[in-house]
Amino acid sequence: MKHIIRVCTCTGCQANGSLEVFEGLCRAVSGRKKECEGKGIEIEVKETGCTGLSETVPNVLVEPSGILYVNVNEDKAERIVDSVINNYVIDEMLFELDGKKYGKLTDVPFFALQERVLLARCGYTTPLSLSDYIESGGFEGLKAAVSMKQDEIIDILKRAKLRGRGGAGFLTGIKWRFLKNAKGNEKFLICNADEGDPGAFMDRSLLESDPFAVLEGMLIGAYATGATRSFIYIREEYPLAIDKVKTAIDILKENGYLGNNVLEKFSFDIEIRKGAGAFVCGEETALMNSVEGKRGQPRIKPPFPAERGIFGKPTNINNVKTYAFVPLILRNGPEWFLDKGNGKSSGGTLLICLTGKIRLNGVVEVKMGTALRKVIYDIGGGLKSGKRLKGVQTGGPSGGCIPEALIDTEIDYESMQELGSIIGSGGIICIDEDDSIIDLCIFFLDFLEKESCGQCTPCREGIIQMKDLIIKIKERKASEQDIAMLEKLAVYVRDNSLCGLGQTSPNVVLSSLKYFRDEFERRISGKPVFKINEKCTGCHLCFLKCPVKAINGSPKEIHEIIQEKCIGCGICYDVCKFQAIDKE
Amino acid sequence: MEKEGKTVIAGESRVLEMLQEINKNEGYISRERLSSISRELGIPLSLLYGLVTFYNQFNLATSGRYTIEVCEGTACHINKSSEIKRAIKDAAGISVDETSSDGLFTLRDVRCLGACALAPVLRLNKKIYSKMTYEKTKELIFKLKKEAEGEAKLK
Repeated sequence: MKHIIRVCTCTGCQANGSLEVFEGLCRAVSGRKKECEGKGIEIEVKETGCTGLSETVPNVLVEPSGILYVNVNEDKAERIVDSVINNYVIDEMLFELDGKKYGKLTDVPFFALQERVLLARCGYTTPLSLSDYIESGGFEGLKAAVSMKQDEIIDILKRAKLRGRGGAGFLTGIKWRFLKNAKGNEKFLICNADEGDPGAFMDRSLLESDPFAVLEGMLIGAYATGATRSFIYIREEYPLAIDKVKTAIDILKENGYLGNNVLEKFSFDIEIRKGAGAFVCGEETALMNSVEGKRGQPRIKPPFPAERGIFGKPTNINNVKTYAFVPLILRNGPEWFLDKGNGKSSGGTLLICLTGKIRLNGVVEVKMGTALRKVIYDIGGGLKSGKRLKGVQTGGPSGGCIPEALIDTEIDYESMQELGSIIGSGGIICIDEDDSIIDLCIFFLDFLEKESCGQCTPCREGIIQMKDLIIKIKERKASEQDIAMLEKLAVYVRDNSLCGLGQTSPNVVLSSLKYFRDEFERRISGKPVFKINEKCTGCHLCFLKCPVKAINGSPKEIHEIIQEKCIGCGICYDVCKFQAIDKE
Repeated sequence: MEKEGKTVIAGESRVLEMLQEINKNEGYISRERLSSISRELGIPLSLLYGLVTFYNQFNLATSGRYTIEVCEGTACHINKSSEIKRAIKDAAGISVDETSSDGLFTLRDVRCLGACALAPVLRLNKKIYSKMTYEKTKELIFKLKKEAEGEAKLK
């Protein structure tokens, strides 16, 4: 009987020692080769892409039994191999949640409740194995596409309602039609793999785990639009993804899927360009400037890329996930894709990166329209250390904060926008009661201040001023008017910035003011500042009574007020029996 | 640019790749390097300077033997990447963009390494260290310091 032991070797899993596990497993298998031969057992250890359950990596999947082992290290490799040979399950290495153990990967709620189509190969195939790719349906989409007319392909994408998964959410079919109809003897295609949103890493995961799928999507795009050349722009912070894509391109070239006369129908080439660490290059026209060797500053639109894009030539640009969806749609039909949505403006599934204070960090895939609650509690296992969820930050620096009260919202383009946030690239960062919304706003504005390209004044100056105002609020030096000013400024920056990133930069401020306004208002000046003096006996009473846990100290020692947390309510002042608290 | 209808990608449009190559091989981009590229490609020095200061990736000064990049993504921030920096300050005496006096460590901020699920993380000479704490960071730095001291004694 043949068994396969699979280990993910993506960036995240490598960071936790998956390569050592892989080597350990290989050694253990070769050490027991004779025994296996005697028993008629064949064991193969294979590198795979990532299952997405990052919380417990390195994970090991045994097939065909489907058993998942978690938190594996090199020392445990021998035992895993022994369990395969002698046909038993190692109980203490199974995935455990709330006292329940799960043997098979597919039984773990984290996986069972997902709708994995884009991630279907991740964890089950070897990323750079062309035969694995083809056996699992690879190039069926491309083959279906080249038997059709260009317009037919574009129509299928339109009927499937595939909206761009990079952030702006434009309909892919319409974009492709623009390029197809554009005049010019040379057209370009770009894959935007400059996943700069902090908190989103599914593009990296996809490129490392299933690179051929993204490239197949680009090939279909080339055929459907008449593009002959392309760039895939990958951020330099992802060296492993760059390596994998590079090798994948070489393999496709060797096998006739890239270059001249692909499937005897068209010619197409893909070049890699590395980003150089600029968030703004995720904006499509900034990215084009960067590929041209310039500073990554967005261009004024119109002209749109389909008229005058890279090097002045008609260009289409899509995100990694968008391209990866295309072969699936061509293979399974637009109805299949629509069925993965919730009947609104977009079909298909949604890739989400669950991070922050969540118990099970990782990449998950759900149907469009799945409720936030299901993603956070049923799939993600709720919060770590049992703290109360305060809210979620979605869409990276362009998105907003949604409070706990609204987590029954279904995640789709419309409802997220209604709440003042966006799906964006799909990052969901959970924050708990210990996290300050004001600090989170300062964090994002600081990020955006450093990453603003500096070209237009509303974004360049507005972000700095918003940050200064919030710091003023944090330090309790602000007045009511400052909050009003902050709101006005945020709306101004939103309405007047040049590019999408500038226009969405105040989302975090506006959504925080909408849902967490009391946190801002509690800190406006006029409220007294309290300090503990040397009369403190360490009776600990103020510590226990403080509603925001702003007092530090052990019993019988002098306590201290954490001014950043203090809201100036004066309860400590009132309860102190030793006049140990000064009011200024 | 136009040659028989096909865009030739050379010269100016290759400049970022050239700079990336130099930055990778030499660890930084020297003033002399910038001048020679400027002459070679006919790009004004001021424009090149604008490029290398626009992108976070480029270093304009030499770095220590170990470059520690602390991730400043949201998930790392929420999970207290500030503790990593505090440990580095305490153990190596440096803040962001500084190099320690013994020339061993340089500290840099990096915008999200895409290992958010393992937050907070740091990257040291291209290896990612996951779920870092104050103590773990300090240990890591002391270990590297000890190694360097050991090597110095052998010499």
